[in-house]
Amino acid sequence: MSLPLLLAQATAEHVEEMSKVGAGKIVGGWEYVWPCYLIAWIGIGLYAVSLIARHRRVRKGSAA
Amino acid sequence: MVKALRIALPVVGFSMLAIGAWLALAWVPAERDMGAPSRIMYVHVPAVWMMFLCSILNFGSSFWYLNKASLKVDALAEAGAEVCLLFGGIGVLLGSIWAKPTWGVYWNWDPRLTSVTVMLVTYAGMLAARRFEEDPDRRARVSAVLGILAAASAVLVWFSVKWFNSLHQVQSSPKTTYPELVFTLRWNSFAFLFIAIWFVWERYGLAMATRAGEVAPPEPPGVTASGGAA
Amino acid sequence: MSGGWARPGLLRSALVVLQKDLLIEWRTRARLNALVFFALSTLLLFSFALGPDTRLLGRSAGGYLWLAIMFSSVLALGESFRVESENAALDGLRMLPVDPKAIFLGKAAGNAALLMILSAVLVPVTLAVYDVRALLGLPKLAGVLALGCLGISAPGTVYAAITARSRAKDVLLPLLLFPILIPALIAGSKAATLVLHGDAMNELGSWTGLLFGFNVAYWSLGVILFPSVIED
Repeated sequence: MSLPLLLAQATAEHVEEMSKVGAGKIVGGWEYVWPCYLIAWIGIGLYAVSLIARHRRVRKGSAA
Repeated sequence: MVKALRIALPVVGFSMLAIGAWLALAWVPAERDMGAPSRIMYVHVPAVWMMFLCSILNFGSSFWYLNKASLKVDALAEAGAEVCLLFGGIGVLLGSIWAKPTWGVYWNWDPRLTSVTVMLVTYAGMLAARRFEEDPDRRARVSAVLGILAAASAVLVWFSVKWFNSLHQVQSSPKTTYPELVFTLRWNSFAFLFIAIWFVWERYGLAMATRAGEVAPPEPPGVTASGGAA
Repeated sequence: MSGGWARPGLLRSALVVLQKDLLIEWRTRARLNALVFFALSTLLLFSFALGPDTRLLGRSAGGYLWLAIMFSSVLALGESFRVESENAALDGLRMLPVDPKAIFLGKAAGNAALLMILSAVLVPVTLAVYDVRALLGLPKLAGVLALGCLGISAPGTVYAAITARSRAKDVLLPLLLFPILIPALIAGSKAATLVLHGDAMNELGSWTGLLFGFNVAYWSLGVILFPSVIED
């Protein structure tokens, strides 16, 4: 095998590797993104519901 | 006018949150080095900002209350503390999830993460202490004192944990800011801001209504001023 | 107050409150004894939890010493206000009138003295049980412990006054106090460990500095805030 061919092959492998994990780059990671958005939405939504529910209770209490 | 705003705030806030989710999850390109986890930033950063706003609100009202006692200021402090706890809890959870793919661990005694967590515990303690104090005046005074001490402790914890990990890595991930990123972050921050203002408003109203029930024992029907105001 | 007699100065009244507290403490020595035994058993529990590895125990001796002091401090602080609220003695003091700032200074100094006595008993036991020697000398260890005890007692006195009349004081006091004490725990443990095992990097100064700053912050906040806690 000639040297240029070897070099080319090595470079190709290197490029392929770089595109996967590359120099300090983070690949994928959607499995971390979804929980974050779910936590934020559920947290905010539950708090909104609890505020409305507590308002109802206080209103009932003062009406009774 | 006020009533319309009270309805418009959550409507606008939650619609902006939905659009902001699309912006953050699909529209904005992923950050070059950080990849997909960089999208966590668009909810994490606004949540932490709202937490700081609410803690400033709590500190300000605590300080104000000790100078000039007023039930309204106390209700504002209570609302600030509770909403601060909500957004701070979200912010810390998201921060530690983000840390896993980025730094490899969920928890690494980062000064920001630690001091915010300690501050949240002090706010939780303050809200717990409020529950065990029946006298509204004393409860307000005590929680104002606790609010000021909580703010002081957050500063001290930040410094001490910073020194504690003086060998800690520098957390400057090269931030290549581009216009889409800035716009998405700004959009989501305003969504969070509207929702946070609405939360504080409603929580304040709730505190005032509860206070009215405490101060005036239930009156006979017919003379109530607060009963039919819904 | 425009009474016919001159009101004693802040420090004088604080000293009187301190004397009163120390006298009560001396008359009820049984309580101090119980406190000491509680702290000692905490120290022993740590060593049992970690097993018989003396090297490991020795390395963390400074931290355990501080944890034992902190756990006992909650009991001591709670007790110091139980005495006052039992006979509405605090109200009596305020009626006299004693400046609330002086009450704070006196009570906090009393609590600090109590904790210092406690740590004086704990140090030899720690050295023996965990098999360590104070490499930098006992006076430095005493200095670190004194600074730490003062640091615990200033916020501790404010929180004890806050929770004294609460229904759930036994839960509330540690819940409120422990998070606040984290900087003191970090700085105190680091400083104690450095005194015990040597200070190769010359860090002791910055940790005692942090402890000192903690003291300055909470003693001044206590003087400012304590009056609002006990006024009615």
